[in-house]
Amino acid sequence: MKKTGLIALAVWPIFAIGQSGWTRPLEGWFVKLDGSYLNADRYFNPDGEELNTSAFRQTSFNLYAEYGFRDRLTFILQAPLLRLNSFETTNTVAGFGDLRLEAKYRLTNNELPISISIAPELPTGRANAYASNMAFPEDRINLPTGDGEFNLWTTLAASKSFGKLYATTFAAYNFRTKYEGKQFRDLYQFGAEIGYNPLKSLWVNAKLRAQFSNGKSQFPELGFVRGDGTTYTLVSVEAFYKVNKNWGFAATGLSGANWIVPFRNIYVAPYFSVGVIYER
Amino acid sequence: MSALKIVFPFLLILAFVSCQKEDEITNPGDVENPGDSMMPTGVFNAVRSGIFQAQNGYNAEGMAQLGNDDANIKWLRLAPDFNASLSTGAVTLYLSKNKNLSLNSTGSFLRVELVTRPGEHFYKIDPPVGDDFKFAILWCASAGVQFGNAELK
Repeated sequence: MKKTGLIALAVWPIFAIGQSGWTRPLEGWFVKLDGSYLNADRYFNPDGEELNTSAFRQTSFNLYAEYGFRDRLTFILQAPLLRLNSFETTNTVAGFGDLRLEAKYRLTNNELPISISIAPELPTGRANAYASNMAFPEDRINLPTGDGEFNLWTTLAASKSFGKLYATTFAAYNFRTKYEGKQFRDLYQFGAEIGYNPLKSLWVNAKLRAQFSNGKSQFPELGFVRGDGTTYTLVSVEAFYKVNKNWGFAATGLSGANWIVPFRNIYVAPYFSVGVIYER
Repeated sequence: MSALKIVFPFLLILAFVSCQKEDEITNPGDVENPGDSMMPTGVFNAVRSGIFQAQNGYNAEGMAQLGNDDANIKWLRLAPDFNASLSTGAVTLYLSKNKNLSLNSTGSFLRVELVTRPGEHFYKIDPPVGDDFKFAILWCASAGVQFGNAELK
């Protein structure tokens, strides 16, 4: 189903992504490779206070793939293939990110698809990656490419199509564990998406996503990259363009504001990604 | 299926390489503070003291003291109860005339030393600073964020 194929998800390099009620058709494939860039000097600490800091920069190359194992069961893989982290004052550290493996099952028919999924996220990234200060090389700051812990996302999503329009809503919960004996706060998200197919080869969508935490970070020394107690409200717009039956391009712009839930423990700036998609 | 056959081996290679690239030093506390190679002569006599106040959501605790040793050399001491958000990497210790470090204000600060471990430290202050340097500051140089300050009274 083409709608399923082009509802591919805005890739935010650290956090969980939006879901829909649809699943991939049997033996169907959707693959996306993209690159994203963040350059931010606005940091909201775990108390929600805004600080102006040296610019944090992250470049990420990501793989996203869906496979229709059964008509109602889709397997999903998300892999940050390469993550480059730095401050404007440091050198750059690089590494693989945390691998996310997901099994998504559609409970209903495609008239009103409702799905549930379970997604373990494995600590395959660099749990510690020290970047050196360019003026004082012995001064190092930890910018890990992964959060160092095993965690488990669960998601419930529902969708509905209205001709060339569709709408999706979801709720998700992230069961987090520990890193070096420090317990992360669980996170939960709510989101909504509307999409439109103005031309046969073009899909556009807009998404709203809010992430909450079950408490403030108890360990600010874990740093912002691991996302402990991180809360936010984000909005994104995406476009997918198919150049032929199988191949196409994707572009995403994402930003946020202190709306539904305030920013905590997060760098905030407009964020962009572009990518190539393959569908069969 | 052909797309994943191309990507999956690359995925495995990157995962393996990432595991091999883990830093040898994962605990910043393993790195010895350079400033600790020198110690006061005889007894350290504190003249001014202050307790660190945490700032900007980070941890900073314990006592800082300015004083002299038996050779009349000035030292800055971090007491055994000193600790800060060191898991982020390291913090830089400054003496400052102002409560908030102002690196654009020449003459208002003195960079003392990088601190990578909690606990007691001694740092020689040579040449000595005046009494108008009232604050010990903990500063994250890479992010440009102040972790805490102690007013020395």
